[in-house]
Amino acid sequence: MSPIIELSQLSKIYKNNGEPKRVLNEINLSIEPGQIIGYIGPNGAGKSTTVKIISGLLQDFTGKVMVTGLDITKDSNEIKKRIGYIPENASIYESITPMEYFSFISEMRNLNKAKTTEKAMKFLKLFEIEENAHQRVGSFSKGMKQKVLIISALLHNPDILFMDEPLSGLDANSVIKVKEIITHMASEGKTIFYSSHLMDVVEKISDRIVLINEGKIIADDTFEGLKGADKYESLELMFARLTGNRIEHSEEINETLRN
Amino acid sequence: MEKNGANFNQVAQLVTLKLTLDNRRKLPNNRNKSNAPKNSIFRQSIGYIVIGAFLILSTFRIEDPYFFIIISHLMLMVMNAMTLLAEYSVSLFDTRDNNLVLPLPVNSQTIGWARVTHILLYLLLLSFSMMLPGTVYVLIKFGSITGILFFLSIFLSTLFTLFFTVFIYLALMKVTSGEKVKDATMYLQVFLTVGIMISYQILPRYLNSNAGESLLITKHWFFMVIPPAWFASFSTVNLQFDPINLTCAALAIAIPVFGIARVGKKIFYGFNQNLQKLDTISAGKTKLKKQGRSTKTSAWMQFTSLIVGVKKSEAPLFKLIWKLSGRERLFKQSLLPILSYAAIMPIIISYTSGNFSSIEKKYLPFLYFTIMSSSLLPSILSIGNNKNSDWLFKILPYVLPHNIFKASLKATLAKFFVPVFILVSIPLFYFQGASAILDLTCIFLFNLMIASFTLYYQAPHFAFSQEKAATQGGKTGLKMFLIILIALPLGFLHSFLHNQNIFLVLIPTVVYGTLLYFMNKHWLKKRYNWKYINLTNNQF
Repeated sequence: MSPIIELSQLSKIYKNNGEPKRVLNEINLSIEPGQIIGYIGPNGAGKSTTVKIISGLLQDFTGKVMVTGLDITKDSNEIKKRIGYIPENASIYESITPMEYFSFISEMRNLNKAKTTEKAMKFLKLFEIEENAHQRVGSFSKGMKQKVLIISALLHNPDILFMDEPLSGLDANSVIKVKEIITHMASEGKTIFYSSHLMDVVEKISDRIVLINEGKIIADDTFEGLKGADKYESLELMFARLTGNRIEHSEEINETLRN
Repeated sequence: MEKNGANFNQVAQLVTLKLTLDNRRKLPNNRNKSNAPKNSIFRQSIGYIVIGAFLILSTFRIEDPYFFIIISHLMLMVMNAMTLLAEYSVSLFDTRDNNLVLPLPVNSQTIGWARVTHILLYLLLLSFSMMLPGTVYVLIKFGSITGILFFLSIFLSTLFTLFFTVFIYLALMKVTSGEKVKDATMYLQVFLTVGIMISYQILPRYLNSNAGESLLITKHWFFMVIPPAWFASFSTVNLQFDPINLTCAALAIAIPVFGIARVGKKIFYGFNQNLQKLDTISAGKTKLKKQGRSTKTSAWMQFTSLIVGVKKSEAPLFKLIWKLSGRERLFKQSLLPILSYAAIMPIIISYTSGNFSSIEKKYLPFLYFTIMSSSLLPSILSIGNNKNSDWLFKILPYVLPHNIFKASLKATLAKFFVPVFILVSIPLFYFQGASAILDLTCIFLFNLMIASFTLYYQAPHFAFSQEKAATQGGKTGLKMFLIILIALPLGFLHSFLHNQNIFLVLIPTVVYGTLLYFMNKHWLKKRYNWKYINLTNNQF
């Protein structure tokens, strides 16, 4: 089966006060359709940058990015028709209402308006925010905004779903629902690219875990495969060890708090 | 400050933090990144010195020191009030640092003082820059003591304008509550703008009619209720000792000082709560509009979209920005004063000789003042609190980047500029009848062309995505001055052509239309590509 996402020698350099900083360093990655990829790494590892590049939000990079067999630099519009993207930080225009937002998305994606409205209402009900359908997003909690963003990314039934910290701010019930949605989509052959630092969720839902640190992929396998000979109890422990961190900090914390 | 309940050290810390952030903030509509805020302030100061020099050119024939100084103070106060209303209201009610400051043990007076001090620093810089040529002129022409007093009066006058405006704002916040606070402050802006512009026209006219006799000597009791007269009296207190002059001079000191005491002590009380109100109730109003109103809005939207030429591919974006623009507070706070100027300037300026016949003669060229709003709209459009929300435009397919910007501009032109233009067109129809259509088409196309050119030359920021930078506060005043310099000659050229033969107006109409066509069809498309946009909005 040909890969649905393929990254070859992907690098990205940011300029910070004029100083170049390499955020991604020659990443190679190949993802098959129907996989749930858990893309994990510490803060600043390059997770969000990778997601933004693959979903066509950032174009200033080197290397090659193929999505659904198309080159992101040449066919980003075609690719965008087939992907959904949930950004981190629940950024959404504050003065818009969810239904206005969905209506806009449906027009921009040339979706059937009536069907999209019906689908959106069902999702709003699923996430228990149907009463807020016509309220402005500015009055929403972070979790409610995140729910709106999740729904907006699902309206067009994308083949690939990019999720950048999608559970940020969500309550426990909603987390369960999102996990179910992800699993259901994967069972239908959709690909999920799930970027997060919340290890427990990644551990439970991912078919394959890709660990990135300082712009480089340092591990890529199933959780069982990553456990390997070390037999880590959890992904958190494995993550700490692979990124070169100690697991216990109690002495350091005690001392800092005392001071 | 301490007597008013503020903690001086905390005020100093807060102001220092604000200034540090101002200097580090990326400026909207600025493509030159290196050291931009400092350069921007320096350029603004130079710009205001040039404005000050122009003011001298227009007033240097005045021999009476009192008359010269009162006119200078009037101009200064109008400029300060305009800048405050259009630019610094946002800084006063800035809720961005609520999460940072409100959890700290800082009282309302301290926050209020910090806000006012922060604004005062910028306002003083602009005031002294604008009055620098005037101060030099007064020193040379009317003597060193008058010059020094004039210099001091600039400080007092700026202080007065600031505290008077803040007092009105905060008093209004005290008597209104909930969602109405934000609406009320916005409508107050419009009301003050119109009031200031009208008084700006009445006072010089009255003084001019009395210019035959020396104003230094001839004063009336009602000068005591005209603020510019206080500061003129303060500056000339060494030249004239009559009771009115002395009283006015005393008021020039007493009122700003009393204002500080009053505003600081009473009105700042509860400022914290007001800031919380502004922050928390922002998106409150919930339910759908009544069906009838919604249909009317939709019909009006359709009509205006035809006027500004919205294409099918731009329609969804046009609709979105149309809706959002009516709700984005920062955007409206910045735009409404400018729209008010554009709406009243043609009629006020053409009403020069005090009778209505002068309006009929001079109204046409002054219609070009409407470009105040159309030319500033593209830069104001980027102002808002949605810094990271523009990813939406990048993730959607079918979107050509220049269409996003064109549709956004067209939506705001249709929603805000078109009604103002229709309003200012009514008198011309009354004066000229149906032939006004030719003139109005030409002026309307000129407005669209200017708006497109401004869009072309500014940094490509998405709608409502840029914070307002205090360091750019004086820019609107400078731009408006520049706009007047452009609008007047073109207005008079139009009027000249109209008077020769009304069909000659077709010449500029064709020129503006052609430039507008090329701008929309080719130039904007070429400029607004994703690479250029991402380079400017590199926030990831």
